[in-house]
Amino acid sequence: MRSNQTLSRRHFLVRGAVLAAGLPALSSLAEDTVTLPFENGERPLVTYPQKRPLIRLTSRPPQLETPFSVFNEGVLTPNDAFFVRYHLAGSPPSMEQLGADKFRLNIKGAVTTPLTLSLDELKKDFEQAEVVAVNQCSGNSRGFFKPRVQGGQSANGAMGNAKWKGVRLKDVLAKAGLAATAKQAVFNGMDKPLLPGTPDFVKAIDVDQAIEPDLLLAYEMNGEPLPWLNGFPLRLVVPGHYGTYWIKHLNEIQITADQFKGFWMDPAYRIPDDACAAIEPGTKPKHTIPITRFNVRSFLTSVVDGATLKSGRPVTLRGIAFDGGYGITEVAVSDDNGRTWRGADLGKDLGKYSFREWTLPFTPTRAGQLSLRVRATNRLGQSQPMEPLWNPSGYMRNVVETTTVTVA
Amino acid sequence: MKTRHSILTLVAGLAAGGAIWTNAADKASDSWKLPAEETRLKPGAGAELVKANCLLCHSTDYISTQPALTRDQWKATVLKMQQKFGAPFNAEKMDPVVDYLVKSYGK
Repeated sequence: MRSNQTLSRRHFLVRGAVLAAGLPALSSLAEDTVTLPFENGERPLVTYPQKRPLIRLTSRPPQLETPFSVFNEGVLTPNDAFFVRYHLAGSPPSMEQLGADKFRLNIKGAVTTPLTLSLDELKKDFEQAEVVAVNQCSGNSRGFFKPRVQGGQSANGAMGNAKWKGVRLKDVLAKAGLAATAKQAVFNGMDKPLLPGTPDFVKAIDVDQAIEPDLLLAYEMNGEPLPWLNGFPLRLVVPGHYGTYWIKHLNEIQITADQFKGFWMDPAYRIPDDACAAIEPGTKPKHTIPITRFNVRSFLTSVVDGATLKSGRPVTLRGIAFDGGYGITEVAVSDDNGRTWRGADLGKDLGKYSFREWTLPFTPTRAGQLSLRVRATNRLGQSQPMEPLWNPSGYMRNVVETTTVTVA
Repeated sequence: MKTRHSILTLVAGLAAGGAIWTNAADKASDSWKLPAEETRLKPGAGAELVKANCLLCHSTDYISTQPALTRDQWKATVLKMQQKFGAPFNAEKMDPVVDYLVKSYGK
């Protein structure tokens, strides 16, 4: 299974041929393309403001995927390589519209004191807090689903790990004063739909969850102001939870006394209501619930699919693992199709919401094809399935990843 | 979207008697642009309908990066766009749009 490899080549060499064949032209400015390892996986590499060349899935609204090799550069994903995912035609709002000096966050609804806060007021009036946390798209790895499903066809690069700095949501809600009737906190950002019939991208979480200390209103990412395409100047950070809740360009928090029923909570972003969020491939779920926490995932990053290793030469296998915030306790590697597993060494602990680096000394001994499988387990004992699970929206893929190499 | 932004910029600038305009023009980030959209629809009967009804809100690559979908899958997608996202299809446009998508991007 070629899960991580992307094949690069100079694109301009073939562009003429593509045009001559009457096929759609890819970016005339993109010198490179990558081919993600599934059908119809050719993508241009395109440079956006504040970003290095990233894998472009869509241009309007923009969806950019991180090349997988970035995850071998370090446990924190650089801001210029962090993935981008928007939903609405009016995305992103222009930097002029967002202007940090005129930006205001409004907290209203079932509160005793509605608030309007500038970015400076947020920074000055509340204690600052930091968390290292993975943000992962619900549909990360959707392109690998079999049978294939509709939606953004990502490989494994719609995820990233960053140090987020901001103020605690609970402190801001405490200043506004939650009414006794408060049930949900509803979050809206400045990106807007074009047509009146398109539902605005609005997400809700229960007030009980909103007042947990880990949720941040973040204005910094890895020590810099949030990049434009990652939510400048303010976004919600919900550690351990899928990116759909991490509202970008956040400027409104409405506290409601009722359950919020917007399109993006129901029917969108829902999973089958069972322990594994999975059903028989090709079928429809009977009951669904909103997607919430990440399941356990792990990746080998230091060796790519199709690589050649020298027989008898020691190498260090390295990779990352993460879960929904319980903490990774074990990573193991198998080179015999899962019959036996060797425990890897875990790297520095940057917190229970972070990527956890793992390493394992390894010496291939037998020439031929070799499959390396990696599997993580968290503090609750949750792990990863050997065979992929399936659901119709292509969410929460977390199969044990396999990297196939040649030993020579 | 580019047009919308420049209109907003112009209106804001005029309303503030030019003061905001000057200020904004000084900030390099205000003029950040997104790279151009390059993917083109495959030619064929119905392409103009898709352009008018679908590409209003999203680029062609939302269509072209999908796996080869069946007629049922494309029909469900078009219905979702009409019913949930407010795409301006009427009944007589629905079939030609689905036909085009199946022929050009389906199986």
